[in-house]
Amino acid sequence: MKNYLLDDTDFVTSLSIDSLQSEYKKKKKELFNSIEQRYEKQKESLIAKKLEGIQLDKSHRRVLNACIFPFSQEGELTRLGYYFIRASPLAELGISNLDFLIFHPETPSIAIFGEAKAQVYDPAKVTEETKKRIRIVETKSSYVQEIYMKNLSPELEFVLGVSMSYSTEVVKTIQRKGGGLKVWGTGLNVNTEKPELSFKRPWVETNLDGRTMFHKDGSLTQKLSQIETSWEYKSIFPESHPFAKLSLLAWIRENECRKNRIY
Amino acid sequence: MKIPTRHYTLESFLEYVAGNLEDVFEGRNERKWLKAHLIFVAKEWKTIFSDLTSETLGDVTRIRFESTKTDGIEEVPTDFYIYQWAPGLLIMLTSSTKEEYEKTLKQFISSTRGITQSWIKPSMLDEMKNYLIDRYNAKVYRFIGRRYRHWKYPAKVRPEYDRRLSYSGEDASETLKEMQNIYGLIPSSFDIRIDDYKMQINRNGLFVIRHINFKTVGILQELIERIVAEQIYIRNTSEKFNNKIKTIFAGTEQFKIPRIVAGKISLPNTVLSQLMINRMFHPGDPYDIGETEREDEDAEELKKKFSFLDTFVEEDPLVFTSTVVDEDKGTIFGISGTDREMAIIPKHRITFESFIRFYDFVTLSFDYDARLALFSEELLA
Repeated sequence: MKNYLLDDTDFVTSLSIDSLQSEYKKKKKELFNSIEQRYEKQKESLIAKKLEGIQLDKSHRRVLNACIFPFSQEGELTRLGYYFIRASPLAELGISNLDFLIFHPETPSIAIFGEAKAQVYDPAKVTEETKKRIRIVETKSSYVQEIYMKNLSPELEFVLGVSMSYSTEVVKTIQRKGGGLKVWGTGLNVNTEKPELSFKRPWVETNLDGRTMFHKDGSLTQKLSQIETSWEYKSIFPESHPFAKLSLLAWIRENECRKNRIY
Repeated sequence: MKIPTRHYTLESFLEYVAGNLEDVFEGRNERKWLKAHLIFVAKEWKTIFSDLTSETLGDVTRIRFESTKTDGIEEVPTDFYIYQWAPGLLIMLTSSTKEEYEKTLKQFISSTRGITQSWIKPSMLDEMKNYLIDRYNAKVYRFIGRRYRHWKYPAKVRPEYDRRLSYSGEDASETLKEMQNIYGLIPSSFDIRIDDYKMQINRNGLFVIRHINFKTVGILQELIERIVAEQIYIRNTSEKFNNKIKTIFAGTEQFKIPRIVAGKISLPNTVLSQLMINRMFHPGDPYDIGETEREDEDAEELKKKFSFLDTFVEEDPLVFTSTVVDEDKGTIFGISGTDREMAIIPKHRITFESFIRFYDFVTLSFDYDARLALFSEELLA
């Protein structure tokens, strides 16, 4: 295909009048200078913003990994037949949605969709956002059933995984907002000082809203207590910060180089 | 070493070496030393050496690194005699010099997946020394001792300092004891004399017999036997760490799920801090002390072997995570830790020896008695 674009030198030559050429060069220099100055002024805040984004991504990944790790590592939860299936369900449809999907394929089959939150400054807002995302999953239930569950008809459950420090407030808020979401908390166990994942019981267990905050499978509710977990598992998720994704590409490239070096 | 081609057991091989020194070391006027390298390998270890010339001599296999020309000078081929002590644990016997070893087996190990030199935990090396003193009235005449400031091994004087001591003297046994009591040193290498026979034992699994006879080769076997259970435990535990896609069945349907077998290193004698972890993640420690001896070269190499990416550290309480790259072998794994323990999360291009080397690195850096286990395993305090 013919390239119709002129490079800069050709363009200057094409301006056959000298005054036009010098005017062009002058304006170009001014523009470059102003871009450079603007960048210098904003450099610090741009870097800080990117670093903050990366830091937030790391915190989010810690909570997310803590929620899914015990469903991949041999332990009490996998022995109950619950398995981590995938991160960011529906991402392949271009839908930015919940963070993870855990599946219990044996009858009665259960699919647990979960959202992980490292920081919850406004529990009501987070509850609302999560419920919006749940509604999107529900509209795609036939896709979920066909693609992820191989046409099994699981009961859908929804979880909000949060840092332990926010869990009490989040539980109360969800209950006030009508329940329907289960809460998992992750943090350091005060006795063992190891990272743990626990189901958080509703504030009032006996009322209708409270009951919707328990897993239907009582054995999961019971076992999901002080389960040892890890903050590190998956390095990257479809929703990860772009810089985190770029770093993964760098590792893959480095690894390819190694493969060629080592037999 | 020149060993006639015939059928050997380990015992008959060592007996032949001990009884035929002139023939075995023909052409070498001095330093008729027998070196035994303890090596961890993949269980199908013969394929690892398939590109080298090898010959089976009964239970012993001879491998040869062919001669090369350096600066126009033809070098002699270097032979190693391999005996499989247990599945995955080899003893490689040689008379090669340090330089010959570095050009051949050492290079081979660092560029080949599925093989690594063994290492002996500092606490176990110390026990080994005590056993030799008690059982054989051995005299230590030289030692290299280390102390890292993070070790909680008791020290009466300034425990907060890194220190290294290389000592030679007829009173080295007593000196080592005093240095252990006062300065909290643990030997990383020691030379002993039993009767008039000399041996050297190193933390990197190298045993050097300077006087080869029936007694010293017998002691070599006895020493290896004493540590073999721990060595095999470390090797086999690290081999279990993996990250795979598993198929599960529900009725007639199959589901592919990610399954992980993670590991952990617990630190019973250390409380990690943000400073310690930052120093691990970002080496170039201003407190580094001079390290010139071979054992310490190994320690230095170990530090450079791992890169830490995507790091996160937070204090009160301490929490840290990182992706770790084994720069030699290409393994990528994650770590997730608190002040007393770190989980090891296998990720990509996994080979067991990366975890062994990392365990060695953690032991050296933080706790002389660190323990490796499966993530799901309960460790007794």
